[in-house]
Parts: sequence; structure tokens; C-alpha cells
Amino acid sequence: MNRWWVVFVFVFVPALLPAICAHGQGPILTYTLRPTQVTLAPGGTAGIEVEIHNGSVYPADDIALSASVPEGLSATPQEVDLKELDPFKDGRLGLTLAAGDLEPGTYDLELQIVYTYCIDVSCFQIVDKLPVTAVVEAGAVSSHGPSVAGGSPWRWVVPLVAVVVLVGAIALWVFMRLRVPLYVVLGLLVIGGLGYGVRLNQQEQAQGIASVLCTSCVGIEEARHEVPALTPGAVLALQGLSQDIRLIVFYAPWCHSCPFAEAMVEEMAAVAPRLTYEFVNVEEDRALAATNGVIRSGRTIVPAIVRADGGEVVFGIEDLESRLLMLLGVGS
Amino acid sequence: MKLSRLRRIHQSLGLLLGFFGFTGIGMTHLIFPGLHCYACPLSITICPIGLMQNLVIYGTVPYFLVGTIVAYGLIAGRGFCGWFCPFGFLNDLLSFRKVRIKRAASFGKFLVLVGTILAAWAFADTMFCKVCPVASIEASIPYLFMGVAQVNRPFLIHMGTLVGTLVGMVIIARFWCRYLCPMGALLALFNRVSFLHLSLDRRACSQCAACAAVCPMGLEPHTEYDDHNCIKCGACTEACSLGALRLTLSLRIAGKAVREARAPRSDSS
Repeated sequence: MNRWWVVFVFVFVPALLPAICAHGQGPILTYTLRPTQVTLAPGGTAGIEVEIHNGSVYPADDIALSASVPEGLSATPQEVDLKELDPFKDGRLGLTLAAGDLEPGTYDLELQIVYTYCIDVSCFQIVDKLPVTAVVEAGAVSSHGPSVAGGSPWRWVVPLVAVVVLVGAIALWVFMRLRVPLYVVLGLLVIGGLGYGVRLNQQEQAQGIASVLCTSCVGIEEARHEVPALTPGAVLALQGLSQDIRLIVFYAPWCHSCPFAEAMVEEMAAVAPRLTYEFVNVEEDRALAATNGVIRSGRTIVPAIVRADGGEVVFGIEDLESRLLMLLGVGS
Repeated sequence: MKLSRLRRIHQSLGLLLGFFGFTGIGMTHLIFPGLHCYACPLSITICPIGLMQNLVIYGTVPYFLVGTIVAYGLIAGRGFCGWFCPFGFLNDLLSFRKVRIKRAASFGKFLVLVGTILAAWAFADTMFCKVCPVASIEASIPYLFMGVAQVNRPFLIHMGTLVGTLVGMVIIARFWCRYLCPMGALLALFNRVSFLHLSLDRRACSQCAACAAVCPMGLEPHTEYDDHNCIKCGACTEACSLGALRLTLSLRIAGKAVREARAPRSDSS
């Protein structure tokens, strides 16, 4: 009898505990939407990012994001691989909304997150739904949304505890002349900060931030947030475009100047049937940026616009209309 | 080797590390222990203030940055300002007038640091970078010649802050480091616990104030040897003929330097 109790306590309970916890803890995945309300111009695009936290003790597999949208709007999932999200880890998914010829107004969308959740050999497919509001308004500059986002407020618990401990160590130093606790805490901050930071790959994030130069971020030019309006002369010149030209617009999701450059190219393509374009995120396709001369002295500079068939690179948004017309060979 | 010569060698190494990009090496993962613009075409290291602003904008808990800054702070505190920072080096070259520090104004750098963080949070933009004189030298001017930047309002703002800072440096030695540098403010937090520190033997000190005459930060090292403004350049140690001031590299857990420093001055002579 005693032997069975031992087996029950030490084998069954630990084996069942995660499943009990997982079952009783409420939602398996929790979500943070960024932004919760999307603003986009008619004909424009905007990005939505969903930060996903797995609060359970089992991984979530094959997580897919989709959206049911009203007629006139389309939703395209961004290519982010989220095959598996380990317990207590965070992941991100995104999709791009595109507004067709929609009337300005407020539209309710529903995001769907479908994933597979397995407890040992038992697997379930779970569908979670998130409401989102899309505001279509003339004059809005579409954006691609943030590429890196925060997360739940709980992520600040460890730093707050560290601050409290640090304050305690400083108090011991100031009032009791004890330096050892302060050195211990500072040493732990170095080891913990660097160790956990590297584990979270923050050194790569830091390098990524430093190696992409957004022209408005260091004050090389001013960011502009209005919808670019083409001059009548530019419209005439673009309508007379005599050859097929494809423009590549290199952007970074966090770049403040990039939405204006993207909107300008969209405006131009709208009046020039022979002009096509594509937007390339330099953080995702650095090789293409390198082959097109967007990387200078190891810095990827955004926004940058190039012709797919070669030629000069137009950096930034200063005097963009006339510089693009020159790039297209229709400027004066 | 004289301490001042050794310091110039270290400052040259800092300069070299700052602009090592001429070798073709791209951006590394290293956070620079001073104020140095990562947008500089030749930079291979990350500006801690620029990174800090970006992390504030993203809402990222900055574990890697905090670990690095605390490590730098523990090693030398503001010693990096005196021995490594390229902009500090430029401050040194223009430090002709070693006037006494304005105590209240020296807290301005902490206001700049807090303002930098708040502005990044409020505007979701790297606002400090738009007026940073280091970015003026290392980004605005080079990119103008590379055809990326143009002479526009942001460029003129940069030139304005640069000229203002340079004039300030000429009028007041280490003007930027004393009153405005946010990186100096970060490192100053560790000045009293850093391994590299100035120690004072009060028994040897005659209070002649020869150290005060040479201090580029406008301090009186014989009374302010542990001040948050001290950049540990060691100029005072060379000026002290009695050897009362020393630049020491040690753990300050009630060590000899501290005991000496805290010992009451003997009046028996």
C-alpha cells in the first residue's frame, strides 16, 4: 500500500501537475496587439503586430494569424515563421492590411489565431479571436507598424526587483558604510544583465539598430507625416513616362521618414501606369539592399529608392518629388 | 611613462576604436564606453545613448545595455570620459580655460539624461540625436559629403549645437563633459564605487591647491577627490609634488586607499 502511495505522489502527481496547471490557468496564449486601432488611407497599407505570450507549460505549435475583414479591405499575413512557441516564451506575428477603394470610416475586423496545443499525446486545435478597429481616412499616412514591440507589463517585474535590491544595497553603503553588498549587487547586475540580454538576443537587436541609419532619426532631415501631393507638372511628366520602370523602396519599420517615401511612390504609380514598385524591409532583406547600393560604409540607409534596372540611389525624403522624377528620367 | 602621455595613448586608442570602420569591419555588438555616434560611417560600435533611446521607444527591458553600462561604471566610472571618449579628447584639445566648476550647473547633465529618456518616450523618436554635437561631427557632416544629407533645417540645427558646444569648450574647459553629457551622467553614477579612482592621503596633503589649478573639470581634488564630476584624468596627481593624490585601480572594499583618504589630517608637523 505504501509503495503505491509513493508511486502516486512522486510519479503521477508530477506528471499530471503540468496538465492540471495548463488546464486551470485560463488562456494558453495571451496577446498584445500593436496598434489596437489601425489608421490607413484609402488605397494605403498598414501593419498590425500581435505579440504572443505562451503562459502554459507546453509548447504551442503551428501558430497562424489570419483576419476576417469587410469587403474592400484585404489582410496578408507577413512571412514570420512561428512553428513552435515554447512555454513562457514570447513570439510575434504580423499581417498587412490594405485598403482598396473604401469610403472613409471605421471598420471592425477580427483577427484569428489558430494553433495546435498538445499535452503529451493529446492534441487540440485552438482558435482565438481578437477584435481590431480599422479607421480609413483621407489624409492618413499608412505605416508598417512597429517591428519590435514591448510585451506584457510583467516583463518589468525582474528589473523592478533589481532596482529595489540595488536601492537597499545603496542604503547599506550610505548609512552603514557597507560596500560589499553594493559590489555584490552591481556584479550580479553585470552578470545577469549581460547574460540574460544575450539570451534574449539583445546584442543582435542593438547591432541591428546601430547598423540601419534612418535619415530623420539622427537629424539629417525632418520626418514628414502628411500625404504627399504631386505638383501638376509632376503628374504631367509621369503620365508621359515612356518605358516600364520598377522602383524598389527600401524601408525600416521603425523609420519615421519611410512612410512619406512609400506614399510618394504610391502617388506617382497611381498616375503613371508604366510605373510599378515594391517595398523591401531592409531588416529582412539586407542582401538586396547591399546589391542596390543602399548600404554605405556598413550602414543601411533608409528610406532609399532605386530603379530595379540600376542607377543612382535616392536617399531620404528631402525634395523627393523632383529627385524621383530625375531618377525616372522625366525630370527637368 | 608619464600619466598624461599614457592617457593620450588611451585616448588615441578610443579614437581608433571609434573609427575602426575604415578597415571595412561592419557594426559589431560592442557598446561604446563613451559618447560616439553609431551613425558615423566609420563607426563599428554602438552609441549607448542612441541605443537607450531606441530601447525606450520599443519598450524593451534593456538587460544587455544595463549589464554593459554597469560593467563600464564599475571598471572606471567617468574614467572613460578622461581616458577613452573621443569627444572628451576633443574637449581636452580645446580646454584652455580651466575655470572653477559651477556646482549647480554640473547637475545639468543629469537633466539632459532624464530629458533624453523622457523625450524618447514622449515623442517615440531619438530626439537627443537630432541635437547631439557628436552626431553633428560624425554623421551630419560626413553624410553631407556622401550626398545623403543636404543643407536643411535639421542640418543647421546640428551645426548650431556643434558651434555652441565648441565655443563652450573654448570658454570653459571640458564644458560638454561638465554640464551636458548624458553619457557622463550615466558613468558619474558609478564614480564613487568604480575600481579606477583617485585616492587622497590627507596626511601628505598641504592644501596648496596645485591640483585645483590643473583640473580640467574645475574641481579641487584635494577636497573633491571622490566627486561625481571627476574624470580621473590624473592631471592632479602629476601636479601634486607631495604625492598626496594617486590614481588607483583597486576594489574599494574598505581598502588602504579609502582608509588613508578617510583618516583625519594630522596636525603634528
